[in-house]
This record gives sequence, C-alpha cells and structure tokens, in this order.
Amino acid sequence: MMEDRSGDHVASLLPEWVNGSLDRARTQLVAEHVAECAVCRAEADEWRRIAAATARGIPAVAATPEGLTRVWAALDRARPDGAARPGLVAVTAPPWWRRPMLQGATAGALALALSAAVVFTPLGSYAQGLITIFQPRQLTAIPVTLDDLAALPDLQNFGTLVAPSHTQPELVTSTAEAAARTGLAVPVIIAPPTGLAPNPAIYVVDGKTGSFTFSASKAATAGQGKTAPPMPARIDGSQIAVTTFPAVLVAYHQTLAQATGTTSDVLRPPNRGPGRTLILARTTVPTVRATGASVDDMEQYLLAQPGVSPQLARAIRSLGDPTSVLPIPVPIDQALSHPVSVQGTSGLALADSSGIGGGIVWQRDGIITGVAGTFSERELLALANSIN
Amino acid sequence: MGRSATHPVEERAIEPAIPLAAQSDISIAATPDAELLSRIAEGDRDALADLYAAHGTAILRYLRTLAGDDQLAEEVLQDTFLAIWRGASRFQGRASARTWCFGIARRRLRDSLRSRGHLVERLEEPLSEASLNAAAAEAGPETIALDRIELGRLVEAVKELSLLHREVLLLTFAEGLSGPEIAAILDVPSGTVKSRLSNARHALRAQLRTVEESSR
Repeated sequence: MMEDRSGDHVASLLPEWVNGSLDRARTQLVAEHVAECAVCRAEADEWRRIAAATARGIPAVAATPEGLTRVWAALDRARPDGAARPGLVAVTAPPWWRRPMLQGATAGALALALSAAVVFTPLGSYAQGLITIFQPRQLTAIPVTLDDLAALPDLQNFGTLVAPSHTQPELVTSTAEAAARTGLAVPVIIAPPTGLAPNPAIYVVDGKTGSFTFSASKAATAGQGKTAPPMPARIDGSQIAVTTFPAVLVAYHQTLAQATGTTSDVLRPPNRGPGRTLILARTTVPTVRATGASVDDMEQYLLAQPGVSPQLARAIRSLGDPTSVLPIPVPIDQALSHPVSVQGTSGLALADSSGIGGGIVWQRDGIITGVAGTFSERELLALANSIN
Repeated sequence: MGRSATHPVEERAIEPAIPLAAQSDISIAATPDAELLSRIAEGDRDALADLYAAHGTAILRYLRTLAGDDQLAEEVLQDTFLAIWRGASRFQGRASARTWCFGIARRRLRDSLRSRGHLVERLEEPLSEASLNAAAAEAGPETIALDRIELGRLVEAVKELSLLHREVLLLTFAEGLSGPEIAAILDVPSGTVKSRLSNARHALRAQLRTVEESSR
C-alpha cells in the first residue's frame, strides 16, 4: 500500500479531508501524511480557505413553508380524490404549514401563511426578513466529539472571554415556585410512565450572559510563528454576547421498587442500565448580540484558524446563516439525530447509539422544550406530545 | 441578507444546535432519510414535510447557485419535491437519500431550462474536461497562495468561476458531500470530481493572478 501514501494520492483526498467526508481509515491516513508533508499541509490550508469562501458565497435563501404548500396544492390538483377532504385534515390536524389549505395559493391565503409564519417566528428574528421565516424554527444537529472541543483554538488567544459563573440547578419546592422564578409554564406529565415516581424534582437555572471581545493584538501575539490568518481590522474590538434566560428542569426518577428490582424486569431491555430517568426542560430561546463586525464575519474568522477540525468546520458551515443558528457544543460520543414532527411543529430527535436513551427537542413561540430519558424514541415522542 | 462587513448592533434570537457525534458509521440503508423516503413511498405527507424541512434549504441554495435566478430555483425546488413524492418508491439505496434528492433537483433544473429554450450546455458534461479547464491549464507558475488572499476577494473569485467549478465547490464545501456522492449527483466518474475540484483551485489561482497583474 505504499502508493496510497504518496503525496499525489493524498493530495486528491484533501478536499474531502477538509470537508470531513472521508471514512475513518482514510482520514487517519491523510492526517498522518499532512503532519509530515509541508506541501500537502499548505494545500490543505488552501482548501480550508476555499471552503470558507465557498460557504460564505452561498446564496442566502431558505426553503419556505409556502414552497411546501405549493407542493401540496400541485399534488391535490393532480389527485382529485385526495383533495378537499377537510374532515380528514381536521382529524390528523397537521401543523399549519403542512395543511393543504392554500390550494390555488391566492393572495389572501398567502397573507394568512405569512402572518402565521410571523407568529411562529422568535421575536428577535423579525430582522431576518421573510426570506428565512422557515429557518429559525429549525433545530439543527451538528456533529462534534470531545476531541473536536479539545482541539478548538483557545479563545483567550483571540480576545477576552467573560464567561458567566457556573451555576448549579437549584431545587425548588413546587411548580408554582418554578413558574414564578422563571416566568415559564412548567412542563409536567400527567401520568408518568410505569416505574417512575409521580412526584418529580423541580429545579430552576438562572439566566446568564457571557461575552467575548476580539483583540487583534492578542491574536498577533498568540499567532507568532504560526500560519494563522491575521485578524481583519473590522473584527478587532468587536464583541459578541450570548444571553440565556431562566430555565426549568423537571426530573422524574424511578420508584424505589424499580430501583431494588422487586418488580419484574421483563419490560426493561437488558441494555437499559440500572435506572430509568425522564427529564423535561424548558427555556426561552437565547439571544446573540453582536457589536462591530457581524456574527458571520466572526465565525468565518474563527473557522479559518488552525485547530478547528474539518468535521466541526463543515458542520458549522452547513448551518448556513450563523445569525439564525448558533452551535452550542454539547458533546455526545456516539449519537444519531433526525427531524421529527412534535406538538405540531418540527423538532429534533436525538438518540444515543448505545440504545440507552435519547431526547426530543422542539421550539415554539420562542420557547424551547426538551424531553430526555432512558426511553425509546417512540416513547419519548408520545411523552413529548403529552406535556403541556 | 445583511452580510455586510459591519453591523452597529445586531440582535437575533437563535436556535441551539445540538451537536452530536459523527454519523459516518451508520449504513446508508439505516439513515433516517432513507426511512423518510420509504414512508413517502407509502404516501406519508408528514414524511415529505420532514424531508423538506431537513434538505429543502440546501437543495434550494444549490438550485439557486446553478440557476442564478431566485424564482426559477423556487419553482424547481417544488418540482423536485413533487418528483420525490412520485418517485420515492424507486429509491433503491444505492446512493444516500440526500444524494438522490440532489440528483433529482439537478435533472429537474436541466429539464426546466431546456423546456424554456435556455441553453443547458453549461450544466452538461463538457466534451472533455480539458475544454472546461482551459483557464487552469494557462495558469502557469503558481505563485499565489490562496490561503493568504483576503477572504472577501476569494469569495468574489469563487463567484467568477465556471458553473461546473462553482457547483463542485458548493457540493463539497457548503454541503459537505463526499467525492462518490457528488459523482452520483453529477452522473460522472469519481475521478472527474477529483479533477474538477483540482482544476477549480487552479482556475481560482489563475483568476486571482490576473486580477493582481491587471491592478499593477
């Protein structure tokens, strides 16, 4: 396999190495070669730059609910027996943007769709304009591993990070207290699944703000002797601040009988581990505030730094406009995700690939709600649809 | 969209993106997208809506890049999802579901351009890659290091590339697709994707060199 290690062969793999689409064996092969070969290393840097330029140049468009509505309209026109069956539509009650109600797509119907879209859009994203009304409702999974996070360029090398102090969730005595403290409707489940104690523990977490201010002089000092691109003048002094709002956590744990194994374990798959847990969480959508350069500029600058893994960079770029989607790293070693329909909106289902558990997350009216626990996706989805 | 260099104050509500581990070990047949397609084949509208939510925007920006026309891209996007609805039962899992959808989008766009009497050569395989890569061949000694070029200039240079070069860059770096996936979408051998990418890079260098020389 000597020829596989030749520079030519590796050079042709560099674009895929940079975009993270190679399999593990070839990723390793290229990484080993690039570590030793200055020519390929320089070429990989060029590809990263081209990747950044390509991602930045993509048209700022988003598939809108109206587009899908027109698909339904065309389908219904083509299949007369399936059209105009309001009874069926009412029974299944699909979300507003999936209903084939806008047949013919008249101006009035379009206006209705747009006003509904605005209602469903987080307040802060009005400025996004109508073009992205669909996008802010999307929860997007991006793959990261612990290695990715360890390899992230140290932010302190590029400016000043003011991180909020770490606060523990605080146990409260009642849903009423949690509601008063957070201003949120506390999510509860009327009938917890078998084996879970009916009285959950309720916690609140305070909101907090963290900020980061870019500094060209810090970056220049840290970047000495390296190939890091210089900080553009417009980014120097720019600040980005992320504000999170109070959150409420509702944790259902297993009953004592389940914990000591005195009831039958037949219904519990062997890989479920010793205990079952169900956690409901709710918070207001966080906001990002940028002064100086745009969030997009800051992100592109950071992505161009050495140390951002190709996989992570690809994932962040694939989010599209970073002002509507901000990645919040929560590393999970091996997990899967896919979009699901939950509570009449679109959400994201997450599953731990070991089969121990997973979660469902969705966002509506600027409120994010999540359900997670040691249950199958089907069970979690049923629970998600049952909470208030 | 407000992508200008400076925003005095910019405030947005944002979505948390929940990062997960890489999914590369999952076989194609078991991916949720493939599941969605099999549900679509059974007439499940929710599945089509989920597929649209998952890939509609990516397909739209691909079409927009190729078509250069917002309205046409929108129309072809809807056309694409109609075709997916009608053809989902023909998905055989040889390519990933996402690749399959992109391939449909490309063919629908080509058909749509053709039916409007537009020239579609720019989307067709050139007689030889050499003709496409004439600019690259003329590039001569490569003295420009692309990683030193200011990003804004490089963005503009990418926009000046030939359509097929822009397409392969978009699929690779904006959509993160692999060589074999792109080959399936474009219906060309994998080697062609590799050479097209390489030539796109040479063309970028040639173009930036020309700009540099003419500005002296």
